[in-house]
Amino acid sequence: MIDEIALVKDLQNNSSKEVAFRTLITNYKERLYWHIRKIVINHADTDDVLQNTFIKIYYNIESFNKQSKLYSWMYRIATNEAITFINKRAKEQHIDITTYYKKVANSLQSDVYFNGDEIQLILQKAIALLPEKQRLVFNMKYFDGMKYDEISEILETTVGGLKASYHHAVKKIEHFIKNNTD
Amino acid sequence: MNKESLHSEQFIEQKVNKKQPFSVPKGYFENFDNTIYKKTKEQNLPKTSALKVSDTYFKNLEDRIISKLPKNKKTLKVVRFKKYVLNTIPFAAAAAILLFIGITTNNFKNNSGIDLDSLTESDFEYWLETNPINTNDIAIVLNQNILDETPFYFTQIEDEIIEEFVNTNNNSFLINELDE
Repeated sequence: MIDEIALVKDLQNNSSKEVAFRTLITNYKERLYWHIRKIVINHADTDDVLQNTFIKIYYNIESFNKQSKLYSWMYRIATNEAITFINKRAKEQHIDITTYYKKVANSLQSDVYFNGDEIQLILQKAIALLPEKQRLVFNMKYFDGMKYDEISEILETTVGGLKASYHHAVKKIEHFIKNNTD
Repeated sequence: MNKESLHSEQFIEQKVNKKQPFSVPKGYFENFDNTIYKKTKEQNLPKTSALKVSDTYFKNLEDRIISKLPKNKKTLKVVRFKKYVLNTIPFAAAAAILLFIGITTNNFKNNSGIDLDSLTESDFEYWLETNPINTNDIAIVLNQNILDETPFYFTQIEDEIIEEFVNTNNNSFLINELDE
């Protein structure tokens, strides 16, 4: 388990910043990658967002408030970067975000970095139809097994609100799967 | 609500396993550290240029430039932005700008005597920055007989006037349109 307090101290010290930054990347790259990947779906886009996230972390570490957890702070940056990215992509294509997600989910079948079977494809299509907050909560809770407290700190939303979002999300997904399978 | 959520969650788990359906290119995570490290290194490069000029370069630079200007040439007319806008866009569209600025800025909140002359150039610039003129918007406010109501009689514009307009105005937008 990484000592976050010591790592932050090293990151905020110019003489140890580079070594500490390498440690930070090594420890968090995969977790942040998969978090971003579930939001932006495509590998190449995820790579862009992940790089931007780490660069933002590198340049903003001085302003990191030690009251919150480093892990939550980085997740928040990654989430914001990913959402900004997809909004920008949708805007570039002159489509709304729901249409953009549907498009991305429909292109998964031909994605070489998608190994899912038919039912997993249906699940991804169901997730694509969810509103943003529900989509985020579902991915973080269902796939990553995160606790509501952790999600609350990252998304800066109340636990009650998150529970309601998750409830609506699973109901909608259940309904979608039932309607799209035998 | 929790029970219901749990029930739906179990249904999804039964139907779809939690196995990650996404994959990454081979060696992606192994090489990621170096990619990002390189990027931060690039951004750490000094932003100031190492290029230098001689100490005397900027001395008398104004005189050197002015001495190269052509003598006895016809002075180019500078068309003021506000005048350009007023001459270029139809009166109906100008009225729309006036209405917009009147509604959205505090400057005119208590001023009932708004006219085009009371607008500053920055008002126009602000309006154009925040509301790029959309052809549809213009079409809505344009009357069909707008050409009869405005001083635009294109057939009467002489070549010399067009040439002067092209020479004195930023015409890059015309080139862009041609490219399209």
